[in-house]
Amino acid sequence: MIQIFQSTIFRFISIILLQILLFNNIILFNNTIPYIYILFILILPFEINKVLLLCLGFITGLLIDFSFVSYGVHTGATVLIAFLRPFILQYIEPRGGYLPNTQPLLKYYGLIWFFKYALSIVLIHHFMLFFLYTFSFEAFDIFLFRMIINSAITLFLIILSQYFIFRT
Amino acid sequence: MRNLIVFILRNHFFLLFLIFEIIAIHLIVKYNEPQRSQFEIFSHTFFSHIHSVHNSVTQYFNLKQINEDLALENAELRKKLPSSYFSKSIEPQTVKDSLHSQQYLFIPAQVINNTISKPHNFIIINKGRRHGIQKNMGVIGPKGIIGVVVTTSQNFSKVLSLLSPNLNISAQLQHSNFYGSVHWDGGYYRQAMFTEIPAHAYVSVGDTVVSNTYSNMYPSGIPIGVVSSVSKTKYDNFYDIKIILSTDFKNIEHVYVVQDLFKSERELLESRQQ
Repeated sequence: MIQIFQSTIFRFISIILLQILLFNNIILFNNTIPYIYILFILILPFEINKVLLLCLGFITGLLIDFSFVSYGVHTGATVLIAFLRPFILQYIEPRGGYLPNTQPLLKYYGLIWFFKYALSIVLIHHFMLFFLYTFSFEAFDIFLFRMIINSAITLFLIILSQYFIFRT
Repeated sequence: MRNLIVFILRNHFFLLFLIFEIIAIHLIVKYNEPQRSQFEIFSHTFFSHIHSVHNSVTQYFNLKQINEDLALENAELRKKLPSSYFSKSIEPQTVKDSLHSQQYLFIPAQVINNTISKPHNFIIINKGRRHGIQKNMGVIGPKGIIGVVVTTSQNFSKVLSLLSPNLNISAQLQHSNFYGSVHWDGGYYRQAMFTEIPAHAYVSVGDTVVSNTYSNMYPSGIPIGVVSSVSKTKYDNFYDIKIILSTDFKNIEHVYVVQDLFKSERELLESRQQ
């Protein structure tokens, strides 16, 4: 238990720092930033308290917002995925349920499961994020195009991280 | 109260989510300029829509009262319009001059009915016998000749417009004294025919056609139109001239009726000659 707590704190700090210091400065295709910080919400333990989950999502989003000077945009999107995470986990639950002493990582449940999980979270997050950025559906095709490109990059990096960082 | 607490406890996760989202949107609208303007547009359209729905519902109940008020107000305003007054001035203004004696008087009048598209077009003006208007008086406008009075009543007169094939008006070219007659051929309302100009006269496009006194209705020199095309076959003795009328008959409002003070004397002389 203490070990999980420690590792969560460590992941929180390292992922936030990585996002703020590294990925905020990687601007691909002139307008696309990989929002890798949602990985933290993604890999929180299964048995985490729902209220704590929401609070962590709120704090994470707020910290990212401070780094982008876009108060509220990332907060809204991250709180939304923190709220929906239990339902998504329930929906894609593998046969036999989630095993004890496991985390929502690729190495425990395989690529297909993790891809479905990450894809749904990333799409919901990016949709909400881009909506909160523009606050309108006027140029919906451009909005959707940018959202999908950005989601693809974020998703790619998240799955890559599963192979290189959370392998063991 | 107890139920409320139970409800909050049961839905605490969703309520907390809502609170966080509301905080986030509050932050967005408060600190981000583009989102705030979008939000203001949205809330403005939303509330103005609500307001208009509310208005359209409540207005319905007041329609009867509003209609009556408007009708009363309309009647009151209509009473004050200049068109609802009848001009009582009868005597035209004259200038006493011992060297020249006045030949023409101009009685101002307003067009109250007008047609341009019929085979014979008439204009009704709001001056009549009371104001000294008689049959066969010429009518001119600010830009040129309009027509001739054919019938008068106590307060109104009927004017045969120049746009009538029956009306031939004696006219001449401004730069030379060759005279002919102008009449409308029943076609386009801006165009008329100018005939009887002999083939040896010099006529070119752009020449002005003005009235002369031969028809005993108009002072000389009142513009009628501008030559727009000149044609003549080899064997003709007269030109075939088309003119563009200087008066736009679709746009006439104020006209003057020409009163010739020497008209009866001249007519007497002309009849005696016969």
